[in-house]
Amino acid sequence: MIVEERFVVNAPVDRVWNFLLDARSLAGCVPGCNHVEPAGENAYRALMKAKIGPISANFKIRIDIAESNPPTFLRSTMRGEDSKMASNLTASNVIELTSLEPEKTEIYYRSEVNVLGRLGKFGEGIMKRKAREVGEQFVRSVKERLETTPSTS
Amino acid sequence: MKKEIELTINGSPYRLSVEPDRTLLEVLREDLGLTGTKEGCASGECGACTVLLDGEPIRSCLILAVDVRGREVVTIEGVAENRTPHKIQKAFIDCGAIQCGFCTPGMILVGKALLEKHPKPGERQIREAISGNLCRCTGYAKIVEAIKAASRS
Amino acid sequence: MENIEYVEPKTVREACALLAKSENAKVLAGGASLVVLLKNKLIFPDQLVNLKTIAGLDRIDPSPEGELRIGALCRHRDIENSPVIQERCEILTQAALSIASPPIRNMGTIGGNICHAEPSADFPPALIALGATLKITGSKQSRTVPIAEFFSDYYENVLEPDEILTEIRIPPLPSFSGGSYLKLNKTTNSVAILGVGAVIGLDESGNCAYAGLGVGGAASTPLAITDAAMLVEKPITSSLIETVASAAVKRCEPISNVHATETYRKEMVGVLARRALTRALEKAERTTKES
Repeated sequence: MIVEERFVVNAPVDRVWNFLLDARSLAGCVPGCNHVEPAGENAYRALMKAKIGPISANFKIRIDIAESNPPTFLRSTMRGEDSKMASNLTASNVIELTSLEPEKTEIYYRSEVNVLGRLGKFGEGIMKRKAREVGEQFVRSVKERLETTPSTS
Repeated sequence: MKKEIELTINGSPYRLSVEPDRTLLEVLREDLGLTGTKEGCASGECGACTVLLDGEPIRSCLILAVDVRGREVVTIEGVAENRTPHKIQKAFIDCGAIQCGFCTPGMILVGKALLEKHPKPGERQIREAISGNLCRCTGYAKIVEAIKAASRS
Repeated sequence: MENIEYVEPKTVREACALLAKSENAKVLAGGASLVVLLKNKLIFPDQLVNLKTIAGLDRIDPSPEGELRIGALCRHRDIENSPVIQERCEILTQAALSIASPPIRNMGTIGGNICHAEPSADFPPALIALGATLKITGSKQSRTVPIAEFFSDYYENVLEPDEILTEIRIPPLPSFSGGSYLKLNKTTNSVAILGVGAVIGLDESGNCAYAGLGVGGAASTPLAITDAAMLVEKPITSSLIETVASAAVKRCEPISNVHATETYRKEMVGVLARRALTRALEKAERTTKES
């Protein structure tokens, strides 16, 4: 399933880029994502929690930066596993930044996510809805962090 | 932690020691060798696991064995009396209502429960009673005919 | 599977105390929903609290004030066969009969159906249309919650970890009332794609004294279409019904899946809302003629 969004932040493109490239601050904007640590060059490990009703999943994920063109383009891939739920998560993500004004940047992100295994049976309909909620929260958090924090973020 | 339960199956008393998360279907098939009751979908939709609990059809794949303590269970193995086929079993044979046989135990038990409550059911009543049992072979016509025939004998 | 404990409290208080103590307990009523999750290894509780051993949770009692109290452990079969429910809020009989198949109805409970909070569950739209309230008991206190406020998200409700739904309360309806529960599904026994419940009550002059409309399967939770209130104190025309049906469509946020697309669901909400309201009205009018 595809989750994508285009939104504007009141911050200069370089600050946005640095913020998004900092895995910890980026992960901090994704609900359910925590324990981010570097895992080698251009790679990170993290935990991703997701919940639908009584069913919870805890994915151990690895994010690899595949392509990086500062300050406008970032492509990454994500692989995750929850062995208790016998499920895997894969995603390919793209982030594009466009400077609209010195203090205004447009962020476009697109994530193609697949859930395989036991949880994959669940049905794309609800998962897509949930993924969209995660995306909406992501947008809110990014805006909040970038628009209220002073320039050294 | 295993639980001790006492119940009646096909007229005989049983004392069993079961883990609480085991279904009646599992216990019937795996512990007691009563394999006439089948597992089809493991989600209560196909009816192959149907047994009678205190005379009422239920899904043995959805009921925990510990939950039927003190109750009376009838499986297909308990339908014939003294090795004489029940009139429903005879009707199924005479009407040609059995092809692969997978749905048959459930169908017969549902038919038996119906006739005990409504000795002269109309066609609509029969169809409603078996509406929770899927048959992929017969197209249901012979099964309805068999239950009707049994009600007349 | 890890060790799982099975406990059988004899009272609601005991059950709530058990739930309050355990981090990871699940209540067990009919098992029709819970056992599926358990056997498919989607949940891993360490304790199962059987509610069926608590006496008195499966009663159906009219109260002197005209309210009908339905115990949460009533099976769908009990609802289906209850003469007092048929007489006072027949929409529930319709909803009960529409659930799955006879063997499932012999096991599943109305409380379980509500608390599992499947967006397309059959009782919630009918209960919303009836304006039902839920009695919830916890280890420290009890509270009542209008059914429309009980659901918080897909498969989620507002129960605290130590709380149990014990009773469903149906308020008295005007003397001339009718209800209709309509379900859209692929085959007779399959889960609802959409479910719409409408209840209309008329006064002696044939004007609307009560109108309720609930929709299931069209959002992350069952929806209360409060716009139905615009019918009250008016003679109900088909154009008014159309207005309410359109309002219902606007309130929906359905998903697309293999069973139906978002567009089709939205369209069908309008169709079913219109039909259910019309049938509920017809039934209510018929009771005025019978009296």
